[in-house]
Amino acid sequence: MKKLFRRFRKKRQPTPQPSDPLLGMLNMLAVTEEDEIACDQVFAALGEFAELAQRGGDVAHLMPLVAQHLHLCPDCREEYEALIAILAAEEG
Amino acid sequence: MTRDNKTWLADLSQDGELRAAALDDLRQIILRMLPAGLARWLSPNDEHFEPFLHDVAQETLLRVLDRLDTFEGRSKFTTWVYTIAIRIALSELRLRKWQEVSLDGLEESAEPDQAPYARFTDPGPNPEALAERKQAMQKVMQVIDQALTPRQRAVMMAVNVEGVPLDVVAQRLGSNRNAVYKLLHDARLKLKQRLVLEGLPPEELLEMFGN
Repeated sequence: MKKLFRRFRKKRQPTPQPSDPLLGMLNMLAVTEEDEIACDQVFAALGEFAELAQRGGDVAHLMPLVAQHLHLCPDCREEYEALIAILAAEEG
Repeated sequence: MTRDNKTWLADLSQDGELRAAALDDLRQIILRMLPAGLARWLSPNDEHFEPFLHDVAQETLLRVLDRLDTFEGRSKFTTWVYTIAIRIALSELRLRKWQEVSLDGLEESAEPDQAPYARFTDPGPNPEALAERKQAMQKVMQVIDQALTPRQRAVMMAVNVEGVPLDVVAQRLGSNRNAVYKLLHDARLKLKQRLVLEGLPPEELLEMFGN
């Protein structure tokens, strides 16, 4: 668990990927780290991450490895966005 | 009936009426909330929507019961259930969407597919910038060709250029999403290290391209 909360070694934050595939790939390479967590670890932390984000928490700093994975993994990112949509509907 | 995490776990962990009632309540919650999460992928007006929703709810309940002891209480119980329902639903929708699409480059990845590289030939704003960018692009492509294995290259092109979901890549390769992510991570790391060695760190290339 501590690994998920470890801070980024670099200050660079994930940015939305541009439509140009080359720029998208370079953006991904720029935020690539030796230690990254896998999809299953993100899945286990996704509920906590989404609830924290929904409360306005600074998820990029509190759970940087999850935030980084969501930037790099389109499947997990889609699932996160779907979860946020459900939590928003639940609140509304 | 409103339950906290402990009550959900207690009710679902035992046999009998409490468990049946909890499962029924959970099914209703999934059926009510999941459409909000699927709105981008499937319209409620689609004739397949209702049966799909019920199938996902049923599969979710089975998986929840199977994995009850893995719930760590780091979120609300229902949020954990939503993550399971979403994973089941989107994985299925991705596979359905791509089932008719041939991914020859991926499935026969012994030889690199050159075609996707043509997508990188986006023109720059002026001749000088274009020349500089073209040179950098050629270098990046050269590094991709030299540093990656055919399989890494094929998967990276499929996911990052063609937009193929990791779930679909995993299915075609007879693998799983975790392994595909690991393969992509290894490829990105190798590319990044190689570009740095070549004096072309990705951050500087992004600045060159004004990103």
